[in-house]
Amino acid sequence: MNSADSMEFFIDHSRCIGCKACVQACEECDTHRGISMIHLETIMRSDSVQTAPQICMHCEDPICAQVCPADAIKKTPDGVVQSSLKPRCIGCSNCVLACPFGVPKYKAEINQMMKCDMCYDRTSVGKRPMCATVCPSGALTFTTRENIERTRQGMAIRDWQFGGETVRTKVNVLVPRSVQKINVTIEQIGTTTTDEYDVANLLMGD
Amino acid sequence: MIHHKKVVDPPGDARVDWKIICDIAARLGQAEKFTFDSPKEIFDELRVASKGGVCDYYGITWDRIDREYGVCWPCPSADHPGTPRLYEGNKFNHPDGKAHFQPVEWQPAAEEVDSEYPIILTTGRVVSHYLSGTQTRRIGALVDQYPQPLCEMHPQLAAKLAIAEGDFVKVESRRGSVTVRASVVKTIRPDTVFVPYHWPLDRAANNMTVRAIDPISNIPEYKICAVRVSKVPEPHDAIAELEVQAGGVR
Repeated sequence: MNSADSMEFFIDHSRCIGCKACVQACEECDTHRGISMIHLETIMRSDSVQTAPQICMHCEDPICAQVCPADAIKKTPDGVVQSSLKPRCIGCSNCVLACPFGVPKYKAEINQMMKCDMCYDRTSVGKRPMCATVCPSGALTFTTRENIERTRQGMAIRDWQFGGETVRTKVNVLVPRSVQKINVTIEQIGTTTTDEYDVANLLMGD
Repeated sequence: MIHHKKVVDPPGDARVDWKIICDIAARLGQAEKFTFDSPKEIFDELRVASKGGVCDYYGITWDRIDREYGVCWPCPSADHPGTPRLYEGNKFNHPDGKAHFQPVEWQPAAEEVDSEYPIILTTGRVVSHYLSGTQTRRIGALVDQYPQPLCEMHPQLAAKLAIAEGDFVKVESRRGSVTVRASVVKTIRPDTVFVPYHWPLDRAANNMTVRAIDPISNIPEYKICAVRVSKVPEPHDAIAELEVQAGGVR
């Protein structure tokens, strides 16, 4: 068994089959029973079968915490961005709007923001996060970087560009080896550019 | 091989499957061959029966499964670690150690498209459901993910048939039909529609499929038959309404 320090979270979207096992496992946790902290997005079913699991990416400089007027979002020394602190959170939802990954959600029933804390109760004692233990296809993996480099074709990166905002995350995503940084530009948002994956076009290429 | 532990006792007069099978064997006069007192004993017989075969479970014991959180077969002996990945090191089971291509004679489908039934139907599964759905259509979260069968079709075909996303369509072969909503997606060939098979009766994809089997394996030819597809008004679906009254297995 590897020490907890060397274990990292890796997301490989190309492996996600949309089964939502992660969502069900997350919901069952005692610390936030019945509410999933992981979001499973279907990107655009008319164009693609791509689905995407979204856990908190645990930014090195978390924007959610920066914009919190109540200082309710804390980062642990080992880089895990915690969910909001109940005595402090005022439910203003600044974090909900600010997070570039859409992770924090405002829960009106409790007037508080809740989000993924990478199962801190588990990962801080050397266990894997629940979602990574149940993912059947390895789209969500909690392991060592060496293990990922040995077994995966893609490259694990954690640098993002959202317009003018540069973000480095604790969580890695697997991308083709040519990619150094994920650049989310204004042009890409809301634009359908997947016609190269249209099966009718793929068949014409035969 | 993993161990699914019993979670609840059978309700009422219900009994566990293996005891029922042992009783059937006794009624057939074979009680002495079914003298089992536990699933573990049945598993031990399976171990012995598989010994020396390609799928050799002999090294997998009940205790090992629990201790190691599952063991991958083949596992021919107690000191064998199990085989998480077959044929590692490019060593296969043929005498020459190589994998062999098996040529097969191409045959056309039992039923091909024509002017009357011009579209190929392929049936299959969706990620949220399992086989006939008798397990997964009882689980609310899975029903929510995919409550009804849909007919997937390419936008080019949908345009030709004047069908829009969410319209009710009748998918009809020479043998039968289903009426389901259309899902217009670019992830399918324009000459083919897809209907999943996890639902019964009026929503059963096998109402349409052809009665033909593979000559070698006897696997039914569920993946291809000829259909026509047309837009229809929203159906009155008595069975579906009954299911909702019975607790929402729909």
